[in-house]
Amino acid sequence: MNHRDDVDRTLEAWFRADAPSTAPRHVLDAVVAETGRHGPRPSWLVSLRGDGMGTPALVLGRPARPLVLLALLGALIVGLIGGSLLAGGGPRFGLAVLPTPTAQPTGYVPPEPTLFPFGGALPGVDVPAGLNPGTTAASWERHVAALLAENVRQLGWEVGLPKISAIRLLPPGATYTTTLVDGLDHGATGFTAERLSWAIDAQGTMLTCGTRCAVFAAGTFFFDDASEALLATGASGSTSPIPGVEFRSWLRSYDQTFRPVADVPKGALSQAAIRARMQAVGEVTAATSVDAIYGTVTCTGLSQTCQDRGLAQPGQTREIWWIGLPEIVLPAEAFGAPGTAWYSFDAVTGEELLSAVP
Amino acid sequence: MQRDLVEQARQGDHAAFTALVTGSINGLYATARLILRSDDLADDAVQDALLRAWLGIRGLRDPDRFEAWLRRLTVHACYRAARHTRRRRIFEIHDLPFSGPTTADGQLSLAIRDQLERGFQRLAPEQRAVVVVHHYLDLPDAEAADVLGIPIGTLKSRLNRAKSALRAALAAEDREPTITEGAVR
Repeated sequence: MNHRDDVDRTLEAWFRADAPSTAPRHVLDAVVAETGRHGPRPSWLVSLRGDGMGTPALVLGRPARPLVLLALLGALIVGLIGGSLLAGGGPRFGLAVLPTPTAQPTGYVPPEPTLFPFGGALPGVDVPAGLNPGTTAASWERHVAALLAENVRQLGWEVGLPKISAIRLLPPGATYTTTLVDGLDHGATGFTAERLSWAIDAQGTMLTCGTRCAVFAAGTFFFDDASEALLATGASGSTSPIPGVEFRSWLRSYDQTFRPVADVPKGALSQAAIRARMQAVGEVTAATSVDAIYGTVTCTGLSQTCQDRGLAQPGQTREIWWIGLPEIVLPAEAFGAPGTAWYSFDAVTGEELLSAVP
Repeated sequence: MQRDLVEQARQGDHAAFTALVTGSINGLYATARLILRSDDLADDAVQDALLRAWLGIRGLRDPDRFEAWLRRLTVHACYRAARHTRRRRIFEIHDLPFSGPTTADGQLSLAIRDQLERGFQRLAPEQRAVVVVHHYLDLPDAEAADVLGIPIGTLKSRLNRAKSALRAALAAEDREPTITEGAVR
């Protein structure tokens, strides 16, 4: 019997084997903490905004009342304009005027970070060249480490993310560059549990990104970890002390706390060779760009990830390459613009530890 | 019992909402993880969906539809997560001869899984969601269409296209599994 005749059964078996049985604890913790800060929206607002999916009525099991809502909204707008005219102020439309972001600390403290527009380009912000990591992986002198969950709280995170993060140890007072590990736009929901990359100088001073580091399409905004004051936008910001001497002390002995990961050397295969191998299996075209930036993964254990990679023997390696695939016929939204990214892998388990794309 | 909790949550009872979430989060997370193929994205999608659920729970008129509503919020959160993620692809090249599990069954299983993963990653998020809702949640067509927010006809055609693509991916099994592809951020 050809096992591929039954895609349904294959899929179901795959899903059964692949589906996690439980959600990570930190997900529930984050949800409980975040929802604890807000109450549910009033029902009239839910009707106006929808249920978060842009479909206000049908999914909620009630009749739609768009005309009533539109009429109410129209009346409200007319009332506001009329009131404004009567008051002599003239009509004012559009978004609130934002302070012009600068590359230096401004001391400007927004009432809430969510005043900034979410998504899309931020007018007037030119992303400084130094904001992103260099164009090659070699320009990153990185220490990738496993951050222990219990230490996350010492960074001031209300809800710790027991995730891998990156720490760069820089000379005191040095300017720094940073990039966001998770570039997701969380929308206007006020979620603050983004995963971040941290920059910390040799004295244990956190240079950027405490509990608040809102990243938008065209710039990065650094907030003081303690006060949540906006420190700077763009490439540089003033230092923000890490709360608590305990953490500073702990950081100095990070060798014992962190589990250092072997640096990832570049791969040995040429671009032409890698392209030829991909072409051989029909994955790329001659025009596809291929960048040799990752290097190798070496598994010395027998974790599932290692086995999934086909690395069951100690010392076996696989080469990791990044490739831009604009030519592949897939939905356009599936691919961002080609660029350079960097990845790090645990040399023991083969787990992907950290990734970042400019 | 759940209906009571939903009613209490609609009144702003955070403890009731927490109890509801605690009972549902594992299934939602598994669904998101299967659709998105990424722990991190699944984390984000489930958090996003549940926060939206809390904020919008007063708009839920029928407490009996709470579970279906959560599923739908989660699926849509998966779409958002997939859309907003700058996608990159990694290709892993075996520098040494393939040396997987020693048993023949193990090799076969690994190869199929590899092909499925590759084929699944190629699907649009909407197609992946259809496959997961149909084959993992095992919902009747009407309920699956409701969760996905699409007509039943669209569900069926989308499912057929997705399965055709996966069949094609599996048909490539005879190729030597020298490259593993993953979509990453």
